[in-house]
Amino acid sequence: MTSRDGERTAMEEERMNETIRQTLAASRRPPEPPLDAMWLQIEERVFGNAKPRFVLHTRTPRWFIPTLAAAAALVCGVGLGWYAAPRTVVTQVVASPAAATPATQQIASADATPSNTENSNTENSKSVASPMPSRATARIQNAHLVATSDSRDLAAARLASQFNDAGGGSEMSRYLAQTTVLLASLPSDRAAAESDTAVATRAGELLTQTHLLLDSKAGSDPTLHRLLEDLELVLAQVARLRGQRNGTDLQLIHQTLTAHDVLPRVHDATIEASTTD
Amino acid sequence: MSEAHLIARVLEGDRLAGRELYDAHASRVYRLAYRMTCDENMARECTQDTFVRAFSRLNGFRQEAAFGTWIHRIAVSVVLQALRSQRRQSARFVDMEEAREVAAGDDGHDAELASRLERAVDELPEMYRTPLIMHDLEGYTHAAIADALSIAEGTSKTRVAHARAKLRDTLTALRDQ
Repeated sequence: MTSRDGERTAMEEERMNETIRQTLAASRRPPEPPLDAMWLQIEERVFGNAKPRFVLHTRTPRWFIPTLAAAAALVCGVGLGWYAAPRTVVTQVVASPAAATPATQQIASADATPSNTENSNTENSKSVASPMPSRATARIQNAHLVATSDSRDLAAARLASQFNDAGGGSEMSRYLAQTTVLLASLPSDRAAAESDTAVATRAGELLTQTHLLLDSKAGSDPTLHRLLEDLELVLAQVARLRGQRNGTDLQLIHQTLTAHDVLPRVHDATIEASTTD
Repeated sequence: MSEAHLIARVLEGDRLAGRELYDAHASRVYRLAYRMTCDENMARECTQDTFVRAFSRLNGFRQEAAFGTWIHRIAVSVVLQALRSQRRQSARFVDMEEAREVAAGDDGHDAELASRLERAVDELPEMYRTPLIMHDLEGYTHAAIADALSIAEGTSKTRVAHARAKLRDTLTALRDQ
C-alpha cells in the first residue's frame, strides 16, 4: 500500500481498478489462436511424423507374454536337450529273426557292423526301388527296433514312467520340439556322411520315444496318435541314413513329410502341448 | 468421452484423443500466454511447448487435479521461463505501442492511458504481474493461481492487491498531469 491509498475511498479504488482492467484487456486483447497450425507442430513433436487417421490399439494382448515365455523356454529346452543329449549312446538296431520281414532285415543290416555294409547296399537299393513304404510296413519294421544296451533300457523305462505319471505333457512338448529340430535339420543331398550319421542316430533315439509315446496316455488322443504314427514312419526312414544312402532316400523322406503335412501338424501339436503344460 | 479416458488413449499413442484434449484447453492457454507476453509468436511457441511438455509428462499426471488446472500450471511455467530466457523487453514495448494504437484508435487520451498502464504492468515485478494478469485479465480464481504458481491462496490475493495499488498510482499520476 502507498500513502495515497489512505486518501481514496473503497469505491474510488474499485472504479480505478475497473478502468485499469478494461484498458489492459483492450490493449492486450489476444488474436484468434492459430489452433490448427499449432497442433501440427505439437502432433509432430509428440507423435512423430507418421499421421495415421485411425489409430490401431497396439497394446500387447494378455496371452502374448505367457506364450512368448513358454516359447522361449521351449527353445531353450530344445537347445539344451540337443546339446546335452548323450552322443555316445548308439542305437543298435537288430532284427528279430522270428518275425523279420525283408524290409526289417534291410534296416537291421543298414545299422549293423561295417562288415555288413556291402549287403546293406544291395538291400538298400532294392528298398529304394520299391515305392514309399506303407505305414503298416513301417510299423512292423519299427516294432523290431529295440535298444539292446542296459543303459538305454533304463532310460527308456524312466521315460515311459515320466510320460504316464505326468500325463506326458512336458515330455511331449520336448519330444515334439526335438523332432521339429531334427526334421528341420535334415541333411541336404550333398551333405557329408558325418551329418547323416549324426542325424540318423538322433532319429533312432526319437523313434524309441515315439514308441513310448504311442503306448502312453499322451498317445491315446486320436489326432496325436495319427501324428505319432506318421513321425514313426519318417523317423524310421531318417534312422536309415548312415552315410551310404542312395540319392532317393532323402527324397522319400521329404515326400512323406509333404504328403502327410507332418511339419505343420507337429508345429500345431507343439503349441497345443506347451499350452497344456 | 471423459478426460481420463482421453488421457489413457493419448498414452497409447492415439493422436485424435490428443487433439480432443488440445481443443478443450488450447484457446485458454494461448490467451494466457498472449496476455503475459504480448507477443503473438511467443504466445504460439509457449502454447506449443506447453502441450508438448504436458503430453510427454502425461505418464506422471496423477489426475488428482483436473487436467485443465495441471496444464495451466505448465503454461505459466513455460511462459515465465520464456520471458526470463528470451528477454524481449524492447520488442515487447514496440508491440505494446502497436497494441495500444489498435485498442485506442485515434483517441489520444486513451492511447496515452493505455501506454502508461502497459509500461506500468511491464515494470511490475514478475511475482505481482503474473497473478494480476491471470486474475484481472483472464479470470482465474485465486485458488487456480495459487495452484499454478505454487503459492498460498492468500499470497495470490495479496500480490494482486499490491499490483493494483501500483497501477492505481500510475493512473492517479496520469490524471494529475
